[in-house]
Amino acid sequence: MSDWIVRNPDVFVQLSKAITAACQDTPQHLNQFVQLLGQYNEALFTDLKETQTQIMQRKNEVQDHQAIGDLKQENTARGEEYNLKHKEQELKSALSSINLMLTRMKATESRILTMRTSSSTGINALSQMEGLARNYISGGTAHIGGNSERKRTSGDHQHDASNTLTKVGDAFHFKLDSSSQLNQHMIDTMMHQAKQNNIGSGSATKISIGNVSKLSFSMLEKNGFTIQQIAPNDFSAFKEL
Amino acid sequence: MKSLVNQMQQIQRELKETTERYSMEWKDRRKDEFYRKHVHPNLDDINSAASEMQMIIHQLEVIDNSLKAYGN
Repeated sequence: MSDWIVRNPDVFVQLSKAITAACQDTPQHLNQFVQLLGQYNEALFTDLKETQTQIMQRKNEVQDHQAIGDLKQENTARGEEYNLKHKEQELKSALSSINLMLTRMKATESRILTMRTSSSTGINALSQMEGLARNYISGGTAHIGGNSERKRTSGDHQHDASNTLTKVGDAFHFKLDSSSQLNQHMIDTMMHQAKQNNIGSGSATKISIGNVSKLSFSMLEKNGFTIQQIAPNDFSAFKEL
Repeated sequence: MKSLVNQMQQIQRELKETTERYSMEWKDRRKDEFYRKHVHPNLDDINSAASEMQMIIHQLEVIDNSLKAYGN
């Protein structure tokens, strides 16, 4: 799977809806079309049967007019019989064509139904991608630059490292919101984000966490960070990537 | 009252519109593997069904016109 750059996980919902709509609408359209084609076929078949009856009627009229010697009426009936026979041939030919159309359309309908079934794989994949995107965001996604930083909600962890990742020169910088104690999960998340974003030319060589509390020193040192005093009561921690 | 052929034309138009909307939703992601794997084949199938419908409608119009000649 190639990279997906999304500004909002809702895009997966929209794309999924588009697939669902197309895959549900198309079989309906096809079904209606096949039904109308079937009605057309029935109408022509009815017309054929009626035309054949009309031909028989004209034949009888010809005989009747012949019997009484009415040549004019006999010729009129013969002309009508001829036209009806012509129509009968056209109807037979049309019915034969429509039967072929129906066979083809039913095969298409079946193919489209298969498409609807197979599209569920794609729809599920989109749903999973949406879940991953949302999970990624709620797990503390940070963005390099851009305007896609999310707003905090009351449900956010107070000390996560979201929305503060920046890249300056050859270093990633996390500026913590408060000087409260870091935990292993937060450090892992920051390291993961830094590694994930550390791609392309000018890759970063260092990760730096600003505004760290003395309470976090041992945890940071355990994770290979070096503590650096920046100013009185202002500490950072850094680690080479 | 709409003829059966007109009703079929209407369905064909609706299907084309569905396909166009579907295609538009994905217009920025046509190079993506997901599009090639899941969306493009669907669009191909739907477009092919719409073309088939169009062809049938054309043939029915010919039949319709031909049979109309027998009317009064």
